[in-house]
Amino acid sequence: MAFDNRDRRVFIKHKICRFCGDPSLKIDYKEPGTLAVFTSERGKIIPRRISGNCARHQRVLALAIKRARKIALLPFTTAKTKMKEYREF
Amino acid sequence: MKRYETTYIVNPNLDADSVKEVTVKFSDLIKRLKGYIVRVNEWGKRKLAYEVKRFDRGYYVVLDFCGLPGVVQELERGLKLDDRVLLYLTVKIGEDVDPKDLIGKGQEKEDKAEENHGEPVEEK
Repeated sequence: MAFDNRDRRVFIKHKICRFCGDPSLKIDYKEPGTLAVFTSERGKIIPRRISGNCARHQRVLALAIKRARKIALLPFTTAKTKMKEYREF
Repeated sequence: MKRYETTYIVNPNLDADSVKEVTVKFSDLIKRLKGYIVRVNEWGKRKLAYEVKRFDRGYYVVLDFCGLPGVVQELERGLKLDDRVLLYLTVKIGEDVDPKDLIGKGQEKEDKAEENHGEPVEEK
């Protein structure tokens, strides 16, 4: 119904980029703790439309996450159970 | 000269002396190629996010150094050939740096860095 859509719009919250809001927060590939906040449970990078990051910081963040993955600080994926199944064969 | 940062993971089953030997080997390599070591930061043993060569933990070492691009090439070749090293990653962190400025600064940064990264995983 038309009214539903209108009601929903009211609750959309304006998101602010966390890194712009707090300059002391730094994006570093050596800090998996901060980066993990911006990845999903499966290890995927959370899109900007959901995390609310600005374009510049999202770009830097994505690079940092990819670097962290390369040196095994963050997972590429978390399909651990699947991997084990394969190994047993 | 450019500033680089190389993170590498050493086999966790090695004893402390062997780990040191690896560090010395690569820092000597950098020095031999006219590079300057800014700092060596050892994080210790950490759990890996995924298995690497059948290991689920590794000993992390971060080498911060300055040098010409050729140094990186040689260093990465050495790391690739060394069986004790599981993974490595080199990142450029500064262009046109003067190594003399950095050597003093490295010490200050080391203290801060240890606070941030000193989270070794407990042995199970």
